[in-house]
Amino acid sequence: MAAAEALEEKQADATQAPRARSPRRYTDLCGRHRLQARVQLLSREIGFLEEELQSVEGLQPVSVCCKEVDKYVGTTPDPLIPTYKKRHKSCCFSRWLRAMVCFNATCFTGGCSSWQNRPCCTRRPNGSCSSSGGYPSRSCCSVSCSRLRCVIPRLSCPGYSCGCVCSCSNCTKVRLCPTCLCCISHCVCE
Amino acid sequence: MSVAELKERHIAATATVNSLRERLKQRQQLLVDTDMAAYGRSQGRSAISFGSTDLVCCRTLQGHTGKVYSLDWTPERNRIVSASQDGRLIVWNALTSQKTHAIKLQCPWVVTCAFAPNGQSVACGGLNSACSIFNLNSQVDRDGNIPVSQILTGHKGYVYSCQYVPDQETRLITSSGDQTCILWDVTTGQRISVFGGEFPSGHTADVLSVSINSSNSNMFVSGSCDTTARLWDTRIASRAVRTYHGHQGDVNTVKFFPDGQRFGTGSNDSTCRLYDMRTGHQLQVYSQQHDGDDNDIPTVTSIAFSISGRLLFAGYSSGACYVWDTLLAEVVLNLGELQNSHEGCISCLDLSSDGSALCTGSWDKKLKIWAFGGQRRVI
Repeated sequence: MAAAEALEEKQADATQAPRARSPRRYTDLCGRHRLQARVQLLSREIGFLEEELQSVEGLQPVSVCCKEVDKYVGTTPDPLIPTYKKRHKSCCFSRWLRAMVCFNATCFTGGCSSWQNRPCCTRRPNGSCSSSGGYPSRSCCSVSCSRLRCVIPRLSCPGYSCGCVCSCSNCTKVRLCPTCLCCISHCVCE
Repeated sequence: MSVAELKERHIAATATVNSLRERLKQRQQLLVDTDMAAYGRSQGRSAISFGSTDLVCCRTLQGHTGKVYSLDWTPERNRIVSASQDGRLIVWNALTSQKTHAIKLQCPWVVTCAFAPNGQSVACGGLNSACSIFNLNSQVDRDGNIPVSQILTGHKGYVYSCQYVPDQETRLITSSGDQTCILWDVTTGQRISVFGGEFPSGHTADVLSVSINSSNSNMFVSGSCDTTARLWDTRIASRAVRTYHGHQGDVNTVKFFPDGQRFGTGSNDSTCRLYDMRTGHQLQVYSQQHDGDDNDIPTVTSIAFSISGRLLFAGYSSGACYVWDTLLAEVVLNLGELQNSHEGCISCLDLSSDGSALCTGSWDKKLKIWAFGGQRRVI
């Protein structure tokens, strides 16, 4: 009887799932190192923030920074901003003279600016071009132009010798003077 | 130390960091006694007024067959390099609109480009995680292409932005999706310094833009998807000099103010901001009401300051290009509403070195040059 019971127990044991003898130890080395690195980074960050807190004590307020910006902006000329300059009486005659040949003559504080000394195209009654200011007419647009006017070149042009533009007969856009070093000989149609 | 103890330390350290950040924020807040616009008004400033023809589009550069992603001017001679979705770099003569070089890239996924200070080389980077250098004076190969003269490899993520160090032909800084910026020696192709990354504290997300201080080329600022801008000293790669908080979205673009003491940022939160470099103060937020629902808020893709700093040009994903009066935080012009404006998102913009012209690039495949077309009137 006892043997039969023992046999039954063994058979019952055999049909049951095997139990682990002891719980397995899983060491997540990779995750631990990553966590350690993060803690180190945070410790470092704490140090930086404490330094920054100390330095805040000696900082100037926002108003002082704004004053610096305001001063810088106010004293720096800007080619993209429409500026309004006071007229000088000495410029009046030369301004008038140029106004006879050029549209939109302007005069800057302290005397006429250098661009006004550049040749300015005029159109004679017979349709040919001439330039003012003592510059040779070849420096002016020599092709047939439907309209002539003097403008300030829009982009800096280190070698330009002519402030002239004219309109193409075939194109509604401006055509740059062919004798200008930085100009081209065909219509700049956009 | 056990993992459980490490976890406890991590929680405690995180709480300390958050507490210190909060204290720092409060101390900084005590110094905020005004902003740029309020100060400007107190000084009696009035907003810049533009006539309808004061800023005009004077050139349209056509030739790309894909979206324009990036552009850069030469310091001299008025040339521009642009990078496009069509996988090409094009070098333009800005005065004549002519193309002087068209470089077909091996990796077409280019998102950034830059001109070397001497104008003889261009750099570009993109989704190949590398930065390629081309010498414009090189002899073309059999296919008519300019061969690459150097490839800067080392980033583990996309290269989003590159800029040469001013007046140094051999130094270049890139920013990347691997959360770092790298200073390169272009001649040897070697990394000189890596800014950020996992161990040295730095950005915690993709770095989308860099701007090098032209007044002190040891300093540069970076903008990131982690919503911050960070200031770096190229001589100290171990940590950022300062971190600038405030934006609520990716900082897509950063640009130094002309005085070298401030810088601007533009973000996915649709605002631009002006920060003081030394103090960390946020001097002004440039924010405009936009039509449409919250899901359509346009992002700021690119910014540039005029040479005096009075104007802040900001390109938006909506195609708008607002001209902000920086002193009064008012929009004084929208180039997107002018004649001959772009027909799509403004992806990039930059000012010429003499400040006389602005170039914008767009998803409409074109670049446009804007300059002063008005008159300087007599009072």
